[in-house]
Amino acid sequence: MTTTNRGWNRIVLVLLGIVWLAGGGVLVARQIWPDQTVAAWEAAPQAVADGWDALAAQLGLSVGSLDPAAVGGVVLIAAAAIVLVWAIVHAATRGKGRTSDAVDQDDVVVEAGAVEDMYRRALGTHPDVLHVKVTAWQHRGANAWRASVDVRDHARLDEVADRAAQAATTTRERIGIDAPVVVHLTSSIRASVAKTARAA
Amino acid sequence: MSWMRRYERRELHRSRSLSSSIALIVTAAVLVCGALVAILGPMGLLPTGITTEGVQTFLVSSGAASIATGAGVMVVGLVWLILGLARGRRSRRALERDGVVMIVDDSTLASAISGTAARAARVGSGAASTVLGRRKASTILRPDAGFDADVDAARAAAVQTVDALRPRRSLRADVKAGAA
Repeated sequence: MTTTNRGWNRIVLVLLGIVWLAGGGVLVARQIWPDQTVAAWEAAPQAVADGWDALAAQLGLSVGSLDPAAVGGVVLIAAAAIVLVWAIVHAATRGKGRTSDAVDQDDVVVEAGAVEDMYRRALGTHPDVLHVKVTAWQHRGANAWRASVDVRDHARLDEVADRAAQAATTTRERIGIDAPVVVHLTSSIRASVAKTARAA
Repeated sequence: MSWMRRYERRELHRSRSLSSSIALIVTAAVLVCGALVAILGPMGLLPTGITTEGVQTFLVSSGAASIATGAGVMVVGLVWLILGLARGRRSRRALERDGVVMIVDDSTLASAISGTAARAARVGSGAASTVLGRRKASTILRPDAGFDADVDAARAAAVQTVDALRPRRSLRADVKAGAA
């Protein structure tokens, strides 16, 4: 239910996977084909320095030429700074979107707890339902609710599913907004410690 | 409704937030270590025993150790690549219900099918166990010694329950009597 961009997560993983594979490949290649790799390794900074000179000449700038010996260090430090900032921003922006307000529309605010009570009332008592928890989420300014319904082991799940779906519709109608609702039927640790309510 | 498909997809697949964050942080840590060696080495500020040349030698010209390091780095890269490209399904499935996205954990569903089968077969609920595949739920009944399981009734009940649950992806229920 979070607003996390999951495509971006995949892109990051694929990108870093390719970079690490390539980096490891270079280290291995230097041992297996030392001559060719070393030649390429030594030639790369010179090529970067030459490219820099050519670019400066093209643009008519006199910024001085790069020292080929320093290119590697400069690239390393720049990459470290960029990836460090990227990592911090990426990790800090995951998993957002949870709010305490289930409705926030036209100066009307309804807390998630109130919706949870309403949902529990609409669901009524069913021997197989142990616990109900409603959380509120916000995505692009729109409210969405997630109802987690804890059921007993060996529950009559079809009955519970029908009632949970009906209760979600009822709650939505009573509150009067067309919020997306996700109902999750699950068995938590509660199911394993609950006493059997009826003969099996 | 488009939001239903979106939320359903997000509930059925894991997000990879943690693995992508870890991958970025590990990469940043390695690069920062490299940058520190490159900056502090010429200034003579590195701890005793670590030199820029030493690090370079270890990475590029120490034979087996370099190959092992390179292979280790490649394995890490491969793991991340697989994490990024794999489908990443969670063990949950969606049920067809009007107006809401209904998600059920596989373990909850399996337990419910076991329960129905056991009730119909008139055996204790511990006597039935269900294994959920992608399209098939196979239940095995192992009643206590001296009791008979009504396998046909159990099969009918399991099929009826699965039909009543209306899974989005079709699921076939099957009940067998196992050797006790």
